Amino acid sequence: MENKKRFEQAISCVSPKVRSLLLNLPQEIKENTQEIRLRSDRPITIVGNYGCRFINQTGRVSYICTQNSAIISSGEITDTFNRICGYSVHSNQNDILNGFITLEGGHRAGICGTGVCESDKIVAVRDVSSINLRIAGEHFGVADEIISKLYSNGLKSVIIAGAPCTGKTTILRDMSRQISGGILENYYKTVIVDERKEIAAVKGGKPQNDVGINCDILDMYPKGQGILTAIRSMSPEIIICDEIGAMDDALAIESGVNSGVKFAVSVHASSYGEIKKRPQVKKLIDIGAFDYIVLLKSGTKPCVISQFYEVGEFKNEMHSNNVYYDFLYNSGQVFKPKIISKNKAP
Amino acid sequence: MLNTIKTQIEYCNTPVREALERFKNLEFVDRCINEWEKGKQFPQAWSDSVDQSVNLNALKKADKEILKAFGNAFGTTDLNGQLNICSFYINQVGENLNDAKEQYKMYGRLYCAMGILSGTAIAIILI
Repeated sequence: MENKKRFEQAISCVSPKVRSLLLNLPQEIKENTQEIRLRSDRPITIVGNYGCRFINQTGRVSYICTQNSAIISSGEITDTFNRICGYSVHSNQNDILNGFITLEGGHRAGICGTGVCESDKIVAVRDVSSINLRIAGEHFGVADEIISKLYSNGLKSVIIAGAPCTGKTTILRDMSRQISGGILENYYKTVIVDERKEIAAVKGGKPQNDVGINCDILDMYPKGQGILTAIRSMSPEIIICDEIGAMDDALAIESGVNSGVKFAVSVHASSYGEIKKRPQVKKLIDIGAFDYIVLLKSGTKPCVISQFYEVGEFKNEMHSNNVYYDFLYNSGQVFKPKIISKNKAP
Repeated sequence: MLNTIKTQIEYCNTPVREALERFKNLEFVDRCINEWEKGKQFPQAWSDSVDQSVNLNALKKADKEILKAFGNAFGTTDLNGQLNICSFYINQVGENLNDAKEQYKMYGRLYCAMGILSGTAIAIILI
């Protein structure tokens, strides 16, 4: 879908007055807008590769905020919020608590308001004050290099590592599309564990992003639980999940690896050093759960690969002067790392 | 209808649109969905359809007000809120129904007797 149509699809949930203002924006602005920020009784802001801009009451785009800038009222924010929820706040309760609602087309509406807390936990959000409409964009072919280099001889387990906004999720999505879509001369059975709806953006049971033909999605499942469910019930050949970080994610991956399933996961780490500091990733590398690590470049445009590492080499490097961890299983569900030796492999 | 909606929300977290689809055979629900699809706000579309529906003309004003108030609150809160709202309006409708039944008991025989008497009177006059 072209960018202009994506923009128009994303604003279909905005209250009518503001929508007509946005629809009259110049073509170039519509095509390059990434975010529409609506704040109660404050000027409407649009953000894109052109920077941050304001809209005048006449519909013209301005660099600076003036008295003539179009303002969205709190009533219109509430109306927009209700439209985003499909007038069904109760059906979107979990999404609202997570901070965003996925819209048709994979667009996202970030929600800010007053949190209602019960014993340190947010149980509801009231008085919605800001909505950030993020227009989704799909990037086909960003995983071509990874697929051709690493998957030519069958499935492999891969970690995609990179700083925030380096395109980890976009690459995982494209990998899923290609692996389950028959690019490798086989439609591999793929399961995506999409805890935060970032990969497939499921709405009403349908993935809003193209994630390939032979792909099943466990939408909003906690990663650890989702991985175990996938292994038990979907007989996947590869499981894809985003941002592994918790100890139970690592243990679930370990269990999957022992069942012969391959994994493609992403990790927040902008360098070698940062990967080394993550005990759960380190543990997985130690047990040989992954074959390759792909490090993404930060500070440039997204989805640029900086380096491919074979895990064997990486493991040697990592163990040269470092700390080793093991996992302790506490009687509850909490997993804690325990240092079992220093500067020497156990 | 309200009981079914409550059950759907309680067990399936069903969105408003999906919950109403089941009752599309009711003229005012069908009208409401059509208006909503055209871009009207849901509470407005619901209220207008209650007012305009021919099938609801038999309802008392108070009953219509209950239906409208339900439309204003439907889908605006979290799950517990929705369940409370449904229970509240189910009770309201129940109370109105009981009042109507009592009124029927009280005035039913009277109107019946008056009808027979009037008929007899007319017949005597005609004879």
